[in-house]
Amino acid sequence: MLEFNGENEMEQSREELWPYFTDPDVLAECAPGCKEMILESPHEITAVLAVGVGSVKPEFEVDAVVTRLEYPEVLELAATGHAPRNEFEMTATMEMVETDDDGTIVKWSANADVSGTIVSLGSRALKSVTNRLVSKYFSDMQAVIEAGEGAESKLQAAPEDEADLDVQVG
Amino acid sequence: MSTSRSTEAEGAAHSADGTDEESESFTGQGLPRVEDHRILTGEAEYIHDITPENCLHMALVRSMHAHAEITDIDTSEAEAHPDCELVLTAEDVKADYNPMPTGITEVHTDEGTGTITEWSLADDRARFVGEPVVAVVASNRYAAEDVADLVNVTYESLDPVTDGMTAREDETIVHDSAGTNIVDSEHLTFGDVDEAFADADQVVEGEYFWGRISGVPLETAGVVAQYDADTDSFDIDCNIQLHTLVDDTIYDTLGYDPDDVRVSVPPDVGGSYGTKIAIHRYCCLAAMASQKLDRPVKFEEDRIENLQGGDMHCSERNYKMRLAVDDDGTMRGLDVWFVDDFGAYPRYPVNQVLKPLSVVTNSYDLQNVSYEYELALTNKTSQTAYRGFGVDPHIYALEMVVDKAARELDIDPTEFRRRNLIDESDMPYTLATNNIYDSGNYAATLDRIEEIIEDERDGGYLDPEIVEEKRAEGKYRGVQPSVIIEPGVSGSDWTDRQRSDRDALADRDREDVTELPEHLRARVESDGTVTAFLATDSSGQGHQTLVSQLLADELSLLPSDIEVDYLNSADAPTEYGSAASRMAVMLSGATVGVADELKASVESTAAAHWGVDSEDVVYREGHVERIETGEWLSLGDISAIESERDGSPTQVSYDYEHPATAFEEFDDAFVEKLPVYPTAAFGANAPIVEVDINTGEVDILVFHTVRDCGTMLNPMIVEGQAHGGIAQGIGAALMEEFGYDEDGQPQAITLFDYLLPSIKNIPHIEMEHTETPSPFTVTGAKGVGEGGMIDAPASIATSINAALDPLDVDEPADRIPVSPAHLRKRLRTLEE
Repeated sequence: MLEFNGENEMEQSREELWPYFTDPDVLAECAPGCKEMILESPHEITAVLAVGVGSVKPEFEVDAVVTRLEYPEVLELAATGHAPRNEFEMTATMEMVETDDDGTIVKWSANADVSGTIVSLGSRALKSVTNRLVSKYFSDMQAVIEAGEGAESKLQAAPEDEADLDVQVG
Repeated sequence: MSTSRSTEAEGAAHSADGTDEESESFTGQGLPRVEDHRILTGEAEYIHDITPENCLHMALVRSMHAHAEITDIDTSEAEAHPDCELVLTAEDVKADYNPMPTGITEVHTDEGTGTITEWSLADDRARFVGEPVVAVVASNRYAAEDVADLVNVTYESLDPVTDGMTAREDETIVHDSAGTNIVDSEHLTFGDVDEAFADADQVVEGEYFWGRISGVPLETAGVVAQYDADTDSFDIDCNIQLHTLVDDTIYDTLGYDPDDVRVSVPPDVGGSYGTKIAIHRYCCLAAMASQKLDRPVKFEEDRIENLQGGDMHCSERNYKMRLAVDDDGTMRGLDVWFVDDFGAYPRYPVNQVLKPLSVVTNSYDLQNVSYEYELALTNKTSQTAYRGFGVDPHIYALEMVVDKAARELDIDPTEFRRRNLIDESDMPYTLATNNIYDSGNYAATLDRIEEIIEDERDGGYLDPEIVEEKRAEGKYRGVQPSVIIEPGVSGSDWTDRQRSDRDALADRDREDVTELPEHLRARVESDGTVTAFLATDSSGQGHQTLVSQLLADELSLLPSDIEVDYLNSADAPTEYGSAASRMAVMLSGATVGVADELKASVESTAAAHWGVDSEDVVYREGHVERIETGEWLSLGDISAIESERDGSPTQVSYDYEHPATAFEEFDDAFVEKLPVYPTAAFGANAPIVEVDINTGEVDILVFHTVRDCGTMLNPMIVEGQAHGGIAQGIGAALMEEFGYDEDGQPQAITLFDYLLPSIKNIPHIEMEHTETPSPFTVTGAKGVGEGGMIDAPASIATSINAALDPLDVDEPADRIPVSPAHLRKRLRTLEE
């Protein structure tokens, strides 16, 4: 099990940020290596993500389910990814915390079971690559927000009986 | 028994005995290897060079999970690929073939008898990362890899068990059908252990860990299989080791008779060190594919496959050692306990846990021994054999606890060793475990290594002034000599005994012992040259050179008059082969024997030709002379006469019996699961190390070693074996490890992570030899194929402990490899 976490401070309020972080079109634009992202239903996303760690560059077919959504505080996703010779299963949580000067601290964390060459070959680089990708994600997001083009929150939490990832993608 | 030179067999002249004969003898000379010219000029043909016309290529889909249910395999996309010729899954394999033979067929628990089944492809469950699940065949390897990527396997992952100590708890069981992870265990006692431990002044205990290390040959595994529908039989070219002994792993799996599966190994194999004994999975799958497609199928393992799932890792052990000692420095008793993490399937080398019994007390005279092991299965790639065959971890753990005992007794560790060495006058010496050390003056060797160290203290690497200066820079120099035994010339009956169940074993006696002899053939060609045919394969040992040298001497020919070729598994009888430091002894015995047969045969042919008795002719210098008249016939003439008469040229064969069977001394050794290794090469090492306490790096400044492997048939090959072994021992001691994370994901699947020693890491090796012939072998030679790897790690570890002795760190080298990270972790506690 690999654990990642971090936080980013942004000057906008949670309410301003929320639509951007829950708009699949914006996510597709900012998510590093995203080749395709489709909102299958308000709580299901499928995507194709190419992740390069060192010499390994698998292209994952990703199925994600929104398992928890509490406007404007918490977004939680469960996702599985399949690529030749590689697989992952992960849960990711984003939490938005108000700061004293009306900005927001976006705290994120992820637990992932990663199998295959990406971890065998890339374990030494995995952490730094992840950190780099996340910081690129936030800076791209910042740019989109600053461009002020607007965004629309399209995500909803899955009904309880569908929140189990295995039911969705197993 | 005397161990003087006079015990040497006739014809084994060597440089030390100063007879006229020796100047004409090729044996004992460092004759350049006949193999080297073709290897160095790129003319050697390896398995990877063999690609028959019309050949297809195989790739494997391997599990990326350490432990998982395989719930579905969807091959439709793969099969739709235009270049795809075949997709094989466990279902196909099970329909037409057999499981692969395993090293342990029955597992006994309180609940009953369990079993372990290994198919060539994972069936319903994957048990280690890298386990082949699907085989695909396509027109070329690139296409095959693309097709492999299109196979969709659905897994449901399970908790893995990833170390031997945890495996013992049986919370996660690797094979449900076995009922336990501990698939083999024994507790053997010799002498009066309880009394020794109760009565001794002190009992010293230590715990040591030996990491997962193995041989990493330059050449990976490879196979070309070709099914012949007309004869319903197979030709399998591959670089398997022991092709006449372990060919059952191929023909049994295929469900064919031995004669219908001809396994051939090219004359040149790019290293094996034991690891290629277990490449049968690839041979089986390529053969099955070839049968289904009626075309040759080739598989070449890539480097990641080799390191990750090539079934080629070796011992990983947790040791608990206890040594009972008296205050005067007398060793009284030894108690060895360990668990060996064997990986997912018990393969060929289950007796790796038993081989240490052949040298259980190293060079020490110690008769009270307790030896207990547990062999644990885990979700890691399976163990195979590696140079040393399980002795290397034992010698390491033993030398560590010996050192610790000396420190606790406040006796100089070298002096402590000396007081307990087996005395020359007790040779041959019978160990507590019934194996016998043949000959040697162990004390003289240790004395010599001490002299060498004394020289180093006088202006050398250990000059007190320099040591002091270096220490101020945080570089700690030190050395602690340790002693060596390399057991040689394993028999095969031991393996059979190891696999017998307990009741059958109890009923077995000396009469039931059947050792496999070494088979050698020789044919006289019409031009008078001689071709020898080996029944054993070679992976770089220099068999062709050895046979050329010996046969040239025996027949008074030149080595260039001798060609040496190899037999395939169907033509050759089942024999042991190149392993267990056997070949110098077995092959030299066979060569001397086949030369006698050949001389007798040509004498008889010549005598018949002249119409005289065979006493009236004599073989001399490559021809047969009629004594009375001085007429002579050359070897070529005789072979032509023979051809005319019999339709075939002069051809003889000889089977050299395993030497231990010829000596009553060994009768008590051929019992139970006890290993018999009738030669004991010996010596002492003193690597001088420098530990940088700021980085944890260990630099070996010079590696001193004094070694004795009996009569040296080819000193250059002997030195080469020792150099290579020491290099591998240095890699093991400081660099190499197949690490796994807690999820069972392998951490070293490239040479970027599995660190092999290079020229940068190998110091100057100062090697001295003595020659004490073995009384048990025809030429006086002892086995010498595994030394270095067996003894270098132990001696590097004791030297590291000695170097850091001024600091208050208890046994910093308590694990192998002693990586910089490990040393820093131990040293950091000092700084806190």
